[in-house]
Amino acid sequence: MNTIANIGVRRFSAHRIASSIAKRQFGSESPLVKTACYDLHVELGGDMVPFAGYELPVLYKGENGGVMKEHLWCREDGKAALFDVSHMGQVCIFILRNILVLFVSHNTFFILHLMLYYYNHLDSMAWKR
Amino acid sequence: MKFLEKIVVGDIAGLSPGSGCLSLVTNEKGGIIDDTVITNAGDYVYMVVNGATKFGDMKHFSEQLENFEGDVTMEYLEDSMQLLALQGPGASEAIKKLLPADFDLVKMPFMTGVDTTLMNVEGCRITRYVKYFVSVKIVHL
Repeated sequence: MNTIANIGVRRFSAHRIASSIAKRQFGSESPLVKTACYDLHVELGGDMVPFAGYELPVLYKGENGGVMKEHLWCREDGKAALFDVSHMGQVCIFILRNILVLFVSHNTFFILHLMLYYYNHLDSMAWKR
Repeated sequence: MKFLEKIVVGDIAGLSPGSGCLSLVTNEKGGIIDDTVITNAGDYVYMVVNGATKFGDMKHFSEQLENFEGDVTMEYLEDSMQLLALQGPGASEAIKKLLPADFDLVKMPFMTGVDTTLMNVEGCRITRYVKYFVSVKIVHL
C-alpha cells in the first residue's frame, strides 16, 4: 500500500529540516508561495492575499462569492465548502522498530518461543515504545 | 512514542492504528506553542500543524529530535503534498465521488485517518475530524 509517507516525498534528516526552515523563515522580502490550486483560485475570482507566507484567497469575488454567501453555503444542507489549507504543516514521524539480535544458545526451544513472542507482539511493542 | 509524548500532550501511545486526537504542541517548559491533529497511521504518526507556526514547530521538533536518544525519524512534507479541508453537511457525499468505489465512509468514524487513493492518485490521505482533511499528492499532468 502506498502511503503519503513513502510516495514522492523526500526524507529529511534533522539537520536538513533545520537548514530548510532557516531558508524559509517568513520575512518581508521572501516571496509568497503559491499552492497547487493557485490558478484555480484566480480563475474562480479568488481575492488573493498573503496568508502565513502563502498566497491564498480570502474570499471569492462575483455573484456567488463574498463572506456572507460563502459562510451560509458551507452550512446549508447538502452543501460543502472546500478550503485550500496547503499552508498548514504536515509531518510524518517514524518510530523505528528494534532489530532483535538473538544469540544462539543451548536452549533452542526457548529461543524459538522468544522469537515467536517477539514476532507476534512486534507491532504493539514498537508502538508502545 | 516517548519522543512524541515529549513534544505533544495526550495519550499518544494509547491511540490504536488509524485513530487520532486533537493535541497541543508544547515547548521544553510545557508551554503551548501550537495545536495539532495527530493520527496513528500504523507505520508512522501523521501530524497537521498550523501554517503560521509550522516553521517554529519544525525547528522545535528537529531540536528535540537531535537531543533524543532513540530510533525516530521525521519527515516534513513541505509543499510536495497539498492539504485541503472539506467542510459542510454535504462533505461526505462530495468526497465519496473521489474515493475508490469500495471505500465505505460510514466505516470511517470521527477522529480517524487512512491512506487512500483519490481520483486514482495513490498516496493520498484522508482524516476525518470536524471536517475532512484531505492530503493530496501533486500530480503534474
